[in-house]
Amino acid sequence: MNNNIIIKNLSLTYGNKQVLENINQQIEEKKITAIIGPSGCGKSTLLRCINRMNDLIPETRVEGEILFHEKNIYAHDIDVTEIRRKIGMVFQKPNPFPKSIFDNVAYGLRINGTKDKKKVSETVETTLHDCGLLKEVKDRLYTSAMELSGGQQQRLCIARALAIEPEIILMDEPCSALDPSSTFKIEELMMKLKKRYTVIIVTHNMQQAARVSDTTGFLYLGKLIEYGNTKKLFIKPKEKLTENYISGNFG
Amino acid sequence: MKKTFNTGNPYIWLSGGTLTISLLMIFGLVALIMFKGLGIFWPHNITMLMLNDNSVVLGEISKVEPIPNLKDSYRTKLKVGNRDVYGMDFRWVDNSSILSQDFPTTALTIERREWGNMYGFLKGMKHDNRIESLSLADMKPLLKESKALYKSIRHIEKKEIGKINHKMEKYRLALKSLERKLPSDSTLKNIASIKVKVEELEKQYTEKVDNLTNLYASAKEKKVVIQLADGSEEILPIFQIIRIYDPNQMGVYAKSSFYVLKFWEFISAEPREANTEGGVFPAIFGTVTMVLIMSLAVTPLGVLTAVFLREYTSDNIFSRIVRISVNNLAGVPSIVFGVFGLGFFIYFIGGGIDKLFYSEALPTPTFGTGGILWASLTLALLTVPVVVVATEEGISSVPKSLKEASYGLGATKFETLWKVVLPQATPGILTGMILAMARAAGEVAPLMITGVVKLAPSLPLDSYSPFIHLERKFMHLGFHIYDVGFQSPNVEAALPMVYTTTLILIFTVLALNLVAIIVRNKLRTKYVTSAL
Ligand SMILES: Nc1ncnc2c1ncn2[C@@H]1O[C@H](COP(=O)(O)OP(=O)(O)O)[C@@H](O)[C@H]1O
Ligand SMILES: [Mg+2]
Repeated sequence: MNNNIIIKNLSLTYGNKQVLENINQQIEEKKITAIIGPSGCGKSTLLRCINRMNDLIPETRVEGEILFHEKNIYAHDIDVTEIRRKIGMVFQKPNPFPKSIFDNVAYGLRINGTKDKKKVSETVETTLHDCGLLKEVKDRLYTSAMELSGGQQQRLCIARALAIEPEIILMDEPCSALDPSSTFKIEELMMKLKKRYTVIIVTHNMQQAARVSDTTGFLYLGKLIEYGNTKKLFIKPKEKLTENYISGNFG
Repeated sequence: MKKTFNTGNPYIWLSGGTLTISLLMIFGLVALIMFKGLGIFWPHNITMLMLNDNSVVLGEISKVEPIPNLKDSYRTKLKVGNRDVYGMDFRWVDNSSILSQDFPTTALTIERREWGNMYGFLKGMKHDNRIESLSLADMKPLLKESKALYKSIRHIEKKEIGKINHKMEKYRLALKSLERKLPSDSTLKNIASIKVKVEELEKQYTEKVDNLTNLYASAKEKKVVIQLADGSEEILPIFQIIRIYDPNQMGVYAKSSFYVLKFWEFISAEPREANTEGGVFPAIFGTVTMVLIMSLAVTPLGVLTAVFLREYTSDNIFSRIVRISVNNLAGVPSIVFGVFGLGFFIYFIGGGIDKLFYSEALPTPTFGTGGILWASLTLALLTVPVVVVATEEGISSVPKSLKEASYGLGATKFETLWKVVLPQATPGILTGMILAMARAAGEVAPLMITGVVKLAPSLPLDSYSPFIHLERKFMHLGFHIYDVGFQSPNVEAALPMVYTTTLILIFTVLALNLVAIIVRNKLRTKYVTSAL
C-alpha cells in the first residue's frame, strides 16, 4: 500500500481568479514536506486542497486530481468527512474550542463515535503526553482551553488533530503567531511526529523549512517552481527564482 | 460660529442632552409609578372635619387642590368609605366650610370583605338587646376566629366542592359518550354503575352545601356596632372584617410593618370585589406562566429559522424574501396577531382538537376557545423576529476558524452546528429570548381575544391531573391594569391599584429578564473566546 499523496495537474480558481496552476507533486510517506513561497502565492490554498477544506469557500473550482491511497479525493463517491478524518489540519492561528482542554482533545473522538468513556480519557491523556502538554495541564484538564498560552493552545490543537489518528497532518504556518520558545517546542514535536505521520507544513520562514523538512517545494504565483530534497534546494537551487527567493532578494 | 460647529462640540452637547432627556423621561416614569403605586398601602391617618352645616365627616384626605378661578380657596377630597351607607367612597369638601379639623385617636379603619373600607368608632359587641363594650385588643382573637372560619369556608367551596364538580364532569362526559354507543349489555352495565357513582357524588354535594350553609349562618352570629361620623350606628358581622386598625395611634414602626403585610397580601392573595381589592397573585402567575410557555415555543422556532437562514441557504432571492418577511412581522400591529391566533389557533387547531379528543364535551369547547396555550403561541409568533435576528447575530459572531477546526476533524455540518456553532451562539439566542420575553410580557391587545379574562376561576396549574391545564383561561397583569383602572365599578377607589399593578408588572418583567440575563452571563463566561 502506498499512502503518499500524489497531486496531479491541480488548478484552482476562486471565482475567476486563478490561484493554483497545474501543480504536480508527490508527497513522501513519513517525511516532513515544507511548502515555501511569498505571501499570497497560494500555499494555504494548496494545503487546504489536500483535505478539501476549500469546499467551504463558495465559487471555488478545482481541476485535476489529488490521489490518496490511489483514489482521487475529488471523485464523486468520496466521503469528505472521511478524508478530513484521515488528513488532519492545524491552522495558522491557534483555534481551540471554547471548551475544556479535555473536551477539545476528545471532540474528534466523540464525533467519530467513540462512546467508551475510558477509552476517550485514555486517548486524551496519551495524545496530550505525545504532544508534551500533559505535564503542563495535568491538574487542569477540565478548565477552559482559552486560559492556555498561545503556544500551549497550538500544541493542544495539534493534539486535537492527532487524537483521531490521522495518517497525514497538514500544518498551515503553525508557528507564525508564536514566540521563539513556543516555536522551538513545536518544531521539536514535528520531528517526533514524522516517525508516525506524514507531515506537510506551510511556512514563510525559510529557516524553519530548512531546519525541519526533508523535502521542500517552492511556490510562486500559484505555480510550483521547484520541488525536491530540502538540502539541495537550499544549497543549490536549480531555478533562478528559487535562488532569488531564498537569498532574500524579494518577497 | 462656523468654527464652533467645526470643533464638533455642539454635537457632543446635542447628543449628551438628548441622552439626558431620555434618561430623565425613563426615571420620571418609574418614579411616578413608584410614588403613586407604593403609597397606597401606607395606613393614612383618619381626619375628622366639623363643617359649618353642623355635619361631621370622617375619612382619609386623598388630595387638596385649589378651586379654579377663585383666589386662595381650596377644596379637599376625602375618602369617606362606607360605600354601603353613603353610596360612594369619595367626597369633596370646600375648605371654607371647614370649622375645625381633628385626628381622633379612637377612629378606626375597618377593611371589609365587601363594600370597601369603613371609618368609624368601635362601640362594642352586639348582643340581642345590649351592647357589650369591647376594646380593639379584644377584637384580635375574634378576628382570628373569623379568619379560620373564612378559610374553612373557602376550603369547602374551592377544594372539596371543586373536587366533586371535577369528578361529576368526568362522569357526565363518560355517560354522554356511552350513551352515544350502541346499547349493549356491557355499556348498559357501565351506565348503571356510573349513575350509582353520580348519585353518591350528589349526596356528598348536598352534604357539603348543608355544611356551608351552617358555616355561613355561624359567620353571621357575632356582630360589632360601629359608630359612624354622623353618630349613626352600623351593625357589622365580625366575619365581614378583614382588618381593623387605628392609624392615628400607630407609630412609624407599626405603620411600616402594616405596610409590609399589606404589600405581601397584594402580591400573594387573590383579588376580591371585582379586582378592586385584595391581591394580584393570579395575574402575576398567569403572566409568568404565559411568558414561559411563550419562550418555550418561540426559542426553537426562532433558532431553527435563523439556523436555516444563516447556515443552509446562500444569499438568494428566497432567503432574502424570508428575511424581509420575518423582519416585517415585527411591524405588524399586535392585534392582527390576536386575530390570527383566534382564527388559526383557536378555531382551526383548537376546534380540530376538540372534535378529535373532546367530542363528548361539545358544544362546550375545551381547546376551541381562548386559553393560555393559544395566547402564548400567538405571542410566540409575534416575537419570533426578535429571536431570529438575535440568533442570526449570535451565529454570525462565531469565528470561522472554530467551524474550520470542527470540519477539519471530520465533523459534518450538523455536528459542527450542534456542538460548536449553537453553544457559541447561546448568549445571542438568550439575548433574543430576553427581548422576546420583555415584549411578550407587556403585550395585552392580542391576549384579549385569545384567552385573558378579568377573573379566572382557577390557575392553569393545580393539583388535578394533568396538573397543567393549557386550555384554561388566565389572568394577566397588563389586562388587569386595564380592567381595574377602567372597567371596574369603582374606578376612583381602584385607581391607586392601577399604579401598584403597573409596578408589579414592571418588576415581573424585570425579574424574568434578570434571571435570563444571569443565565446568559454564566454561559458567556463559559464560552469566552480567545483574544488571539
Ligand atoms: N476565499 C477567497 N476568495 C477569493 N480569493 C482568495 C480567497 N482566499 C485566498 N484568496 C486569494 O488566493 C491567493 C492565495 O491565497 P493563500 O493561499 O492564502 O496565500 P498564502 O497562504 O500563500 O499567503 C491570494 O491572492 C488570495 O488573495
Ligand atoms: Mg496562508
